[in-house]
Amino acid sequence: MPSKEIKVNLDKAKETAKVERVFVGRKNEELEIDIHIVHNARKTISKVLVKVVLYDNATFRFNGRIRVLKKAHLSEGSLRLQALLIGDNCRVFAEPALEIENNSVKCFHKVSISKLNEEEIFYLISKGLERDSAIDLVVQGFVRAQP
Amino acid sequence: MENFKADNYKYGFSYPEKPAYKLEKGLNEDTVKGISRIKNEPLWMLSYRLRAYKTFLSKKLPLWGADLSGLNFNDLYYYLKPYQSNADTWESLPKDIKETYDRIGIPDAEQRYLAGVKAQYDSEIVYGSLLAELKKKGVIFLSMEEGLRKHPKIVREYFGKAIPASDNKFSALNSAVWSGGSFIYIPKNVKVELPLQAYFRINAKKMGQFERTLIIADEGSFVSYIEGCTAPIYSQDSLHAAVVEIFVKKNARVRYSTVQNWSRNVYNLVTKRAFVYEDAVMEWVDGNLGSKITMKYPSVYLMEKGARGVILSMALAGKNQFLDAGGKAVHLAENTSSQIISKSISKNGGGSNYRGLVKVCANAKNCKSSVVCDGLILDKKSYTNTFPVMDVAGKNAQVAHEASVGRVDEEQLFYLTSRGISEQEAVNMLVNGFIEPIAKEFPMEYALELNSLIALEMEGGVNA
Repeated sequence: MPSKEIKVNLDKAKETAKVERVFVGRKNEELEIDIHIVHNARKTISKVLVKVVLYDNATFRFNGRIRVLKKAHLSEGSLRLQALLIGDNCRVFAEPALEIENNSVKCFHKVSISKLNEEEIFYLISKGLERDSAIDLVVQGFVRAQP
Repeated sequence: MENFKADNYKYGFSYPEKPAYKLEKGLNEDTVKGISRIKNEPLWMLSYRLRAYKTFLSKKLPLWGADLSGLNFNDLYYYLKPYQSNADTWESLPKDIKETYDRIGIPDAEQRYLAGVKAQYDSEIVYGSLLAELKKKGVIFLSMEEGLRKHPKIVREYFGKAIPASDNKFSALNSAVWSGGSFIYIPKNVKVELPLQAYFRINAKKMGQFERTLIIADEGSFVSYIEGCTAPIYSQDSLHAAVVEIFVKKNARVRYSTVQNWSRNVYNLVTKRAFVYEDAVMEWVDGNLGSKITMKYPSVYLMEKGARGVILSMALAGKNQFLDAGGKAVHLAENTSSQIISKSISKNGGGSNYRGLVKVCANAKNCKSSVVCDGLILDKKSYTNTFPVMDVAGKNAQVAHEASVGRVDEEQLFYLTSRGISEQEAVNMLVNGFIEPIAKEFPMEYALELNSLIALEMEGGVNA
């Protein structure tokens, strides 16, 4: 059973943390994850990438927090959440927070929640694929794409 | 180094009080009844106030955001009427009030820019004038009290519908003791080209400001409203808990711009909300520079299909300031769109936050939202946080959010200084560039005021 909480403390200079997760929700599944990263030393780096695909009535809850404390000079933190909502009744709740106490750092987060691109689906169907297979291909592309 | 000293503050003057009527300090049911009696209000408004007062007592202070433990509700005056009645022309105003507004600059503003001016001096709208043509078109621009007196049916239909007393502790307080504020009604298809403007000012020591503004833009209309406020410096804390409700009907558009520059002892806790109807547009343009503590999240509730809301928010927090600002976009219908751009700057140990919400309800199909919140920390002592919440359910929703936090870019700074620009000026230019998407949306006079206020703030310099 994958954990619902990921906590990373970057306490030594130049430590790097990379968190990558893919979630697929179907039917009435309720997925959730909390990701907390604390930068407490200089030149630490964190990279978080979460991809979510939801079908049917699945829901996803995300609590993200990047905290950069006073000692974490020149650190970099990034958080990306990409969600693809395919079902009619899906729901995403996301709170990606940034708490920054040092001004020499570079931190950002990006969240995008989107639907299927019907033009892409149409293109694949016009090439002879069934709709479900077309959706599968698009989802695979979504999950594999590197930011 | 804090350069923003009390004696540099150009608006830090006040006149000895000579109120016509001043209630006892503190807040209880008699205070509420007293306010209603002085204003000669209909019974339904007195009942509304008393119910709201009970709600205020039952509500707790919010556990998030700023530290409000320094507020003592019983240590404030809740009503101060400056003189006997509204003046209709500039000349008939009492001398000291005129001088106050001369120094802030209203006569120039009125002559050159504005359709009508309502100026507020301690809880009452002191002076108003409306150009003849607008009156002919049926535009109503009155103090909230006059609006209640002359148009009771309209007021009763809308008052408290966007922000009920029970919304939060400060909307409950405002609903109980509100005084002053503007009532604006724009008839169907009337477009008011020149911005309507009002000034607010807290003068008396320990005075609370509870203005209540209600704007109704009927179908197809357009109005732009500007609110800019200053307050003198006092050592005790002052409270500003305003409520602004806006109803933007089908195909109408409203833009509400604010430059907030309260002195550094003011608690600025404001609730602002717009209900946006079919194919209508609401734009909040919010500049936050002053106050000790600000908590303000202008909101758009997109009620019918095609509605659009835009929230542009800017905050500059200096020493001992905590500015918690942002916005909320709630999508309740299909094909609605929202955009939030927030720029926060912190310096000299100040803290500025973005706190926001994008909510797309389950029945709201095909909605789009985009949020950009950027933070700039100018020195080691300051901090900034962003707390954006996305709660997206509707089918085919497209929601994008980007936030970044950092400091002034070294390379950009080097480029400018290598061209012979001083570091101070270079930082100013970069800060202005940072907030440009928001500053350019203010009418020119405000944009200039904003730029000079920021330059004044920045005079402390950037400490590496």
